[in-house]
Amino acid sequence: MYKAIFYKEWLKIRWALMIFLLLGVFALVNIFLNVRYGVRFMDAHDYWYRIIIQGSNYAASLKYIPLFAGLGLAIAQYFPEVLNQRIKLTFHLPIRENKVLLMQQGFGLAALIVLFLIYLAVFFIGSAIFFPSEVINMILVTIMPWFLGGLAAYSLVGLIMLEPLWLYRVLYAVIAYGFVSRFYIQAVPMAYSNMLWFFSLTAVLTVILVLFSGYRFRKGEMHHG
Amino acid sequence: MVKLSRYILVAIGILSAAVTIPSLYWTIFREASSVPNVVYSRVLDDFMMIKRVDGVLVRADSEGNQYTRDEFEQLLPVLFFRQRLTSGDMPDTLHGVYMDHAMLSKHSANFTIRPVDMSQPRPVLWPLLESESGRVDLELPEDFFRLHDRIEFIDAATNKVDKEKSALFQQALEEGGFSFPARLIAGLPTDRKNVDDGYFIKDNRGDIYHLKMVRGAPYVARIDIPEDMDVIHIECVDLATREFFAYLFTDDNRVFLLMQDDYRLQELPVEGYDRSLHRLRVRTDLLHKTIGVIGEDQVKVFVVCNDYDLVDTFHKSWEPPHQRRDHILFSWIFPFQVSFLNPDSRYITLDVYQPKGIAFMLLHIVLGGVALVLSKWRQLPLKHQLPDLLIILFTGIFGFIATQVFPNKFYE
Amino acid sequence: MYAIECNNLTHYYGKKLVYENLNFKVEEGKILGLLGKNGAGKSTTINIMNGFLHPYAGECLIYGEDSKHLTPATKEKIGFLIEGHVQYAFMNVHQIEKFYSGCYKRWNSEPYWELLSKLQVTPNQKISRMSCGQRSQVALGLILAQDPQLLVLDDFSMGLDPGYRRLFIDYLREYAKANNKTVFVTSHIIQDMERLIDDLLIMDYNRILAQQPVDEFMTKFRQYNIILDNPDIPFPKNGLSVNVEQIRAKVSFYTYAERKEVEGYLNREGIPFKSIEEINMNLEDAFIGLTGKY
Repeated sequence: MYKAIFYKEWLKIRWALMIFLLLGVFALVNIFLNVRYGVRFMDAHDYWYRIIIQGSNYAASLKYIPLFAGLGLAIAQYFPEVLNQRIKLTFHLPIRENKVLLMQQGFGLAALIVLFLIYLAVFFIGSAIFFPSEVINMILVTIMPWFLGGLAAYSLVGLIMLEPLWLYRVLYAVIAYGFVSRFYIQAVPMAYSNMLWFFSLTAVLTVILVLFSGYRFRKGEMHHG
Repeated sequence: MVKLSRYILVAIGILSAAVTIPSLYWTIFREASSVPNVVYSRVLDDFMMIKRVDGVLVRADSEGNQYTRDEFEQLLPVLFFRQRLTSGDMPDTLHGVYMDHAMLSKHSANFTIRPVDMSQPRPVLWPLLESESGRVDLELPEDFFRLHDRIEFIDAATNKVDKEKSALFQQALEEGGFSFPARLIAGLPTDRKNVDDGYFIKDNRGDIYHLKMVRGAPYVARIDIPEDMDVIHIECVDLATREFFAYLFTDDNRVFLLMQDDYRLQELPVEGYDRSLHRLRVRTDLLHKTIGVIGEDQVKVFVVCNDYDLVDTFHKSWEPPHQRRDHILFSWIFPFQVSFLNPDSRYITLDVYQPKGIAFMLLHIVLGGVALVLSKWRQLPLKHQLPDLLIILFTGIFGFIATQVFPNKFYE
Repeated sequence: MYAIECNNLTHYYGKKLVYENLNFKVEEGKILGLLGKNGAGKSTTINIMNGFLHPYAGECLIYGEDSKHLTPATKEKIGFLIEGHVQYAFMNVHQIEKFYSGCYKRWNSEPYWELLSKLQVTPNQKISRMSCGQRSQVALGLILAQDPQLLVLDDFSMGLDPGYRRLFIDYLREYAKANNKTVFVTSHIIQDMERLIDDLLIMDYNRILAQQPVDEFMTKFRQYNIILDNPDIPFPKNGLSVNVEQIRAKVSFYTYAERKEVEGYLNREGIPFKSIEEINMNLEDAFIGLTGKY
């Protein structure tokens, strides 16, 4: 059963996953080509100075890519389920409805995390060429909330798309925007360092939210007028 | 699990509402408050102040006598010396001290430190400039140093440790008795300053060291500070007079100057100063230093002469923020406000502001009643709504919004 | 135990009543057709039966289990064809077979491939790029391969060509009877339905019009064409009449009564007529006669 569900999810997200893999790796390669230019062809210490003392973030252009990846993956996964209420097929499978939702959500999330780990691996490899561990760590702490925001956005889009009523979809979207934007506050590097635990925790807690919309769907909330 | 998912949603809803709605409230209802700018006149030997009242700048002395701009500036020739020199009514001497443009200019310095300046990420590596290069301009070095369990210089172009230079400085620090790792590093990592004084570093034992590079060689000096003094922040300055290196802030909210002369410590009168609440402003001029401790509802000013004897003090307080109309109205509507951005920190924090009193409880009870009526109208069994009612009683408008957006419709 | 048992089912959409106290049972091995016009509440019933809607009152039991909380074991016993033959259209015929075969223990792909062999689809053709008829065969094939005990088919004939409809119906009946399957179908297209169903349940806006075996209904429900002497005398619409349609002197009279009873009734009511003639109806005629044309 697990295999079958994961197979279905894989069919839905593989293209989106591939696109975001390429997009992210392309963005990172671009970042490090710029860094290379800054270090090799300009004054290396000037370039470092701008990062270390003046707080410029060489990975800044990565900012919204994890967010878009989270949104894109969730849409790829849930749009085919919501279209013509195909989620009924999924709920009808011989498996508990909450369990099947969590399996889908878990698979998507796992795929997103793998994608993010690949991004981070490329980030590490590139950074290690040009910067010492302190700088890598500083930028890592700075970009971490963006990745956590991508995870939260992924879960919240699932919640919004499965919700049967448009009015509530809009309300959820407003709250989701307010919530997810907290992961992307414009701030100095490392500003989130004391709050990573909070943002990690909230990102983790969003994982099961899709159950709420699933419940409302099964109860027939859209049929109550 | 489904119920848990709803409570998580309600929590997210409350959080989002508690961030956005109060901040909207403040943009609409915030009343301007003006903190007087207090200065010391050696002409009157008294304090004078400028304050914005209903949008108009009012200049007065401590008795409340008002002055025109010209009159005011004439009484403060040291502060407004540039204007007075241009206007041609600058006195040559004051209290027997001869004043000319060069001297006034050299001694004139302003220093301000706010809570936010002490709560921000510190650089992770530092550039150590050459202090005596023999060149006119300072230059940034090609490398940056780290100071954990040892000192290491990392070359920016190659991203490699300069072993030779690192060993040289490591040896100097060890010989100086430095205890690794560094707890605090302070300096002015820029080439846009008059002179380079390197860094002041608090070591693992709490001792303060002075580290700089002189013609490629390390200079390490241990600074004697009292045993019980815990320096938690150092703010370096670049004074034309070369009188002192830095401001030292201690754990118990005392403030010292680290003098250039033999690393002597000179304490400043800052009675009542709290570095997490107050702005500290030190205005240095040819004749004296004016130290202002400025809070939301009070300002204290201390004047010392050039040998740091206390000349005069000033204290003025006014109604605290929570007695202002905008805060009172707030306290009737909102039980709290959550912000991730804090004016007193450059870190993202989970800052919870609570108004004084429990005036908001009235609204909470009303909203609880509304929720009760709504659930009756929707024919929802009452006992399932109890947790929601409790949430509304505690979180008021935020909980009301959250529980309505994510309605409780668990029938069984 | 019944395959389906709905007791006192009542539902509202907002304030609008869908139906009140709906009761019906489906014995195992029977094919029941829930027939009604669009909007009569067929989909509501299907949604309740499959746990996609909690009824306002009453309950629906599937193999004795409340449909609000169907267990995986029970869901495995139900083959569900969603209105419009909705399936995972992003898959091709091989992918979807691979997916479902991993979900059901009793999976038997033989009927699936048998049905598909009649279609002109390429192995990599996505379901979304198939015609409505082809999709219906895929959806049906999947349900047959699932080998459920109970087949629930929501408006399966919608959008089908007559040929496909016939194919679907004949295959389904043959399969159900050979394997002793219970079938619950809904439809607003009545044509060909008598080839399929054993029992019928005809539903109109918020009420049940008929609930009996098809054979019984077809013999007992009758249409008489009556030519009146005087079209100006108002024709009574109570008593024996189930439905009356009058065009000037020509009246179509629908009733469960026999010819003698009707003649007596008309005499008693004082309606003179030139002739009375019983008309042979198929199920579609009877359905329209019962529910009216509007």
